[in-house]
Amino acid sequence: MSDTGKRLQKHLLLIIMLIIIYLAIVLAFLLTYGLTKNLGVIPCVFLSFAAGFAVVVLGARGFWRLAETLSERKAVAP
Amino acid sequence: MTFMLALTWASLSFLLTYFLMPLGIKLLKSRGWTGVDVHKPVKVECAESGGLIILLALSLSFLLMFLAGFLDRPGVGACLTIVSAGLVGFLDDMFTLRQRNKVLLMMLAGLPLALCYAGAGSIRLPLVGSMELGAFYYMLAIIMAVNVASNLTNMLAGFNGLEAGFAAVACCFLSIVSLTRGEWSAAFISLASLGALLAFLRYNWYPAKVFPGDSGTLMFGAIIASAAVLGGEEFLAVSLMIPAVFDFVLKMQHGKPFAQRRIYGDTRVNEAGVLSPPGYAAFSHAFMKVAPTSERRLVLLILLSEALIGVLALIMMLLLGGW
Repeated sequence: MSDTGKRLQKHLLLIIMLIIIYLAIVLAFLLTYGLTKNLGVIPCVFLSFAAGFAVVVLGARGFWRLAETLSERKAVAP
Repeated sequence: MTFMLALTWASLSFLLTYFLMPLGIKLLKSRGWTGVDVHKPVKVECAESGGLIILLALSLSFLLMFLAGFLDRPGVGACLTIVSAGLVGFLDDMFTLRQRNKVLLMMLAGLPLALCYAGAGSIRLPLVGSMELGAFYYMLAIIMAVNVASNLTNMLAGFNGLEAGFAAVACCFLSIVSLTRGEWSAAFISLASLGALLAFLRYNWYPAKVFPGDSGTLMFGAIIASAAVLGGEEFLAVSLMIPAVFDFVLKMQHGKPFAQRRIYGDTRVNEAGVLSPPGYAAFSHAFMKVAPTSERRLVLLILLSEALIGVLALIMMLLLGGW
């Protein structure tokens, strides 16, 4: 594969990771909403947003970790 | 007919921005309002605070919309919020406000829109449907949304065309939903903003002649938040802001989140125009880290990420409800 192709592949991997994390955020929000909707509107909304944000924080770390891994591979390759 | 009207507002703000911008750039340069374009092999000076010209063009468009009777009460509130956010950004460009003061002023900027919803408020979500928050929490949520969106767009910035491109992609998605739902105030405002942003991109795209400054970036966030609230498209707007949220979270994970540029310096650039990230985590740095990237390519990749998330959000709204 050409250099341009490899670069594009790595960037697309990052974007795919971002999309997976986005779906996980929505899923966490909806699941928490479903589980807590009997608690009343405000606790339910608060908990759902908290769950979504927790996935954002974990996801952002994962995203950066993937970037570092892909970058290391580049450094190791001849 | 109403669709044609929406396109007319978009064209008007496009033409106003397009023809006012060269004059604005000359004026800003003559006043010494310039900044160095640091991501180029040869450093050049560009006009700063180009957001002021967009603010002027949008204010004229909004005024005409109001005088012609095309804006309802929440629409007027949204316009006032957008203009106020631009003015706060202008103050920041002139006097470099402290972060605390900027947050307080942006809360005031969100007030006109929030007060227009002083009744009851609900947000529409896929699968969940309408989620009733109650008047007080909805007003609070609007003020927070304007503040958060403005500061997030202000943080994910610094590359030619990124800030305006990010807001233009968001306005594009928000306009599509507003038009299909028949939320005309939201459609008029988001399309007028889209027109102004596209005209601005003509001058701000790589290699830039003008930067938006805080008057632009804070206003762009307020445009996204206001259009979303007005059209009931909160889910879509939050989804579109995900790259900016990631950028914020990554920067906050550092021990000294507001001193990173002082400690690590700016992104470096070689003679070929390839960017190297400084040593702290950020959304844009991840793309630079994995493979050699030029400024133009980086901006395109970030906009592509935003657009793909927008498409996914639209699909979810279509399949799971909430359109």
